[in-house]
Amino acid sequence: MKSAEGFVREYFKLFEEKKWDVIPDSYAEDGQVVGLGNKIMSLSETMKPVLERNKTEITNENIDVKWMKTEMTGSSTAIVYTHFIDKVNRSGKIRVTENVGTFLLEQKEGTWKIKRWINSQNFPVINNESVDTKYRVGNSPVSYKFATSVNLSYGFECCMIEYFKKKGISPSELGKIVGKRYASTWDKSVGYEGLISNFAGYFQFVSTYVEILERTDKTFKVKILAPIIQKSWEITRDDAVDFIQQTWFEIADNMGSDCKVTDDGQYWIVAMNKKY
Amino acid sequence: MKSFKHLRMKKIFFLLALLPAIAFSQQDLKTSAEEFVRNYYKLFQEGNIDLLKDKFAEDAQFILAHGQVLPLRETLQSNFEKNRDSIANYKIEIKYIIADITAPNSAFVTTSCIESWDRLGKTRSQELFEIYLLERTGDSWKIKKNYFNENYPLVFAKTIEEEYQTESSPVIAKLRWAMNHIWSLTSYEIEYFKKIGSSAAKAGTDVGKRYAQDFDKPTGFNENVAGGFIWFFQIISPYVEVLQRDGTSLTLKISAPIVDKSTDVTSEELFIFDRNVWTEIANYLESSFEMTVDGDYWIITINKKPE
Repeated sequence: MKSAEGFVREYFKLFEEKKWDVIPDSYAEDGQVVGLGNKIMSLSETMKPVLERNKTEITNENIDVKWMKTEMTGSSTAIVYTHFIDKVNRSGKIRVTENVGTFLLEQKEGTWKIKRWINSQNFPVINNESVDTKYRVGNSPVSYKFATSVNLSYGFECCMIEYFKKKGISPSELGKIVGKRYASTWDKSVGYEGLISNFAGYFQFVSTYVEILERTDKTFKVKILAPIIQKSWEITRDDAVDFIQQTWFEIADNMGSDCKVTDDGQYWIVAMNKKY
Repeated sequence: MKSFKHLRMKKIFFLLALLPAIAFSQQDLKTSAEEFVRNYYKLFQEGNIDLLKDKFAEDAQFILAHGQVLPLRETLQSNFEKNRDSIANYKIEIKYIIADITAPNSAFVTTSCIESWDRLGKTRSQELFEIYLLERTGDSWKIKKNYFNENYPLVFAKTIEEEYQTESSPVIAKLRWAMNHIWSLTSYEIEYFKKIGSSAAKAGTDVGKRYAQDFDKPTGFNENVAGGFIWFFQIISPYVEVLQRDGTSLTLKISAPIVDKSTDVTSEELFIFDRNVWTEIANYLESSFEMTVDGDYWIITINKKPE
């Protein structure tokens, strides 16, 4: 019988060989997958549409296993941890991800099956083989990259605010100009509902803390962690709030809502209420 | 034949009689594994490192979401020492703990929780997803492996109706959007500069000069310049490949950003703007900077200037 590790390698091979119809045979009947948002779902049900889509979209897939660790936890169960780089050509676009997979396997009638599969993804940092070991870099956790990315985007806005302030354009005026420009790209037909669902998603990638305080079909109030304004920028915290308030107001106004941003020193409270 | 059948029947009855006991024992193990992890979180919240250390198997390991494997005991001890004086009000709010008993002495436990803490007067929180592999020796469980993955929380007030509650997006999706957001902001900025008569090249040089002021003069090429640029590209690009690196030079390949199509900016303008921003920063850091296009990628070369 195949080893647990051999089974996972074979499972990966099925993807590389595009045997999409055979892949579900690797799953236990009650197999589960923990999705990227930490939701526990049925493995076969979740994979069904994914595999169907792969049939027409994936032209090539290569899985490069960096390491695998197996723990035999009983006579018929094993846990396999694996770190791998997945390179997929989907509809002509190559996407490379770095993954850590955890497979809980169980053996039935001499065959391994996946009982639970948890996968986490990151964008890779690849060191060419010619790079001397002492100069090679390891990857950073995706959560750390995300937090830094958020700071960088605010740094970018601070740079703009400072630049135009020096040219005599106030943060509020700049916010109005920027907001009107953004607003012109919004589809008015989606109305207030579209505005709120877009902003609810948007806040998740411009802040590392999002708390929805109020939400009905006419009201929306959210608390987000405000950025830290680096001292090197010649702007104040109020300048940043004025700029953001005006930018978001212009978009909201265009979509049939008002918008008010208040700063409590650590968080920004954003309220968007439907105009009657 | 009769007696054999009789014997087999007896065996079945015996097994049937045992079933509730087996099921009960399985349930007991599941409960005790879940309780063990709950108690572990409690000790963690209390910062009781001495009792925590007692919960690990000798060879216990941390498996981090980016593939690093570390010894659990030593890593935890060093993290505690590092954060002891700067962290206050550490709290863990458990969302779920689910144990699967994989053998009488082994449990696979998945958990989800939100941890929050105060550091330098600021409150921070993170959503954690963890897997604990537990092994049982005698009457006690020990942690053999601990895998964890972090995200930033999306919290809903209890008064909000379910129809308006949504799942938190995966952190990798947030990072992807945050990267796109940076490129979108850049595109809009270039467009605005163009409207007021400043080319993408000039705007890039101006912005780069301003950013450069924020940097300290480098103490070494390898750490400050090469290390800094590699880190920076990790947060703006979903693909980073180090093609060449030594003590005085660095060549990288990153995926080229996509211009926000709603702006009046070309890919070439975005390329020129960024090249000029980064050239100014590299110059300030006593290095030269070159960038070329290679299909869907940008190739970047940074060399230490001769002293």
